[in-house]
Amino acid sequence: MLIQSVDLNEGALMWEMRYSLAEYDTATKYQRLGRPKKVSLGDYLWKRGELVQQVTIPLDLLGSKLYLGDFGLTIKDGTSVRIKQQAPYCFCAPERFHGADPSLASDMWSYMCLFAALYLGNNVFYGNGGGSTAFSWVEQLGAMPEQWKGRFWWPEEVNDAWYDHTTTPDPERDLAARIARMRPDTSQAERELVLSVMHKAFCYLPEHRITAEQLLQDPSFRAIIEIYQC
Amino acid sequence: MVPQDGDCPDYGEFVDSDEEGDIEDVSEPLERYDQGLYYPVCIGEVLAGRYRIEHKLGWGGYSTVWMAHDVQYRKDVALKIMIPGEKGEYEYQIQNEILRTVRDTSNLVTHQGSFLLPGHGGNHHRVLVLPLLSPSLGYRAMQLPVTTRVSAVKQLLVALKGLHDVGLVHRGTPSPAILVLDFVFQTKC
Repeated sequence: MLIQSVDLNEGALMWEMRYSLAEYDTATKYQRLGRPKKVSLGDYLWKRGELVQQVTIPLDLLGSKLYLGDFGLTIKDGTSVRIKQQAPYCFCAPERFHGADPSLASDMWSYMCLFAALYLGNNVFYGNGGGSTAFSWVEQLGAMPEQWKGRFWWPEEVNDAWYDHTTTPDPERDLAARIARMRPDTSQAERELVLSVMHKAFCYLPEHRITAEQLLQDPSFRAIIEIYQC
Repeated sequence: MVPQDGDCPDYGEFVDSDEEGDIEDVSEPLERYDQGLYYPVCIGEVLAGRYRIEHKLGWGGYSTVWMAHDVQYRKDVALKIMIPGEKGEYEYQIQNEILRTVRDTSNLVTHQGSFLLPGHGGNHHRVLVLPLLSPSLGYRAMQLPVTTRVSAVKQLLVALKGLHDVGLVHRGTPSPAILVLDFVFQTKC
């Protein structure tokens, strides 16, 4: 899965530990987690320190509860930021590449990227925020709104065909085809539910995008949850 | 010597020169310690007289995160040690707003307390005391059963709705790229 650590992204998700290690001594904890591997930061700093390799929590220690954390970039809706687009670009809503500020709606686009990654097993969009990322939207969702033409943040990469509504997406490579290809184990009915949910959040115009409250009540979303008895 | 339980304190292992590069490749950039941004920490060190550092949980553009044992209350916690200055203080302020305004914070990682560590050159580092949770799994999340993953997307949506109900946009996790972009922007201005 090509998930990196920044937009609402996988780096902000944290998982419950199934049971506490607090009652064990450090040696026993290291038997379960591995001993820290480290490098000295050197003697020239103002204080001793170590560069330590991050722990890998064994999956069998995880519970089923998920938490959302990392609020270092959290802002009030309506706040204008200097840099609109944000890495990892494959999670960032397309309007932000066209001059729009982050918003509740851009969070919902990013949320659906996470939904897709966890449900499908891979990211739906890709690239470095330039032509390849825009191509991955257009290929799977169709042309972007014409009123966005000329506003893409990376002018050298832009392709006017992205905004041309006279072209139609290749049915072999659109979002429906991707869902079928990545989850061949699912029924046609389930794939249609998933496609319906994804299209409501992968809606280019943020003002028409589904909200968190609406999605929680959405019959297709609830039906997917029901299938997995969550 | 830092306090440690048991007869044989274990502070982890220093790797040989072959492995040093591997650790540097996946860890926080060393120059940020030189610049006084990250607070240098040693395994086994006790912070604020009660939190013994046991492992590293992760790092981001604005912080390093450590697994620690609270020797006072005998529980494990995560310590998020922020960079000095406004950016380092920001998450503390927004978490306080979340704790004050969000109705249900049960799926949100919010602090249980906070303290300041004196840093280099008279700076201070804000430390958030957080519940111990597993950091993000990256590609390993795909090894979880699909029912767990679908349950996760539902829980995530509930958590996000809690934030959105009070008009907060999550935006994401600060990465080193953020600092670079900020720097470039300020330089250009």
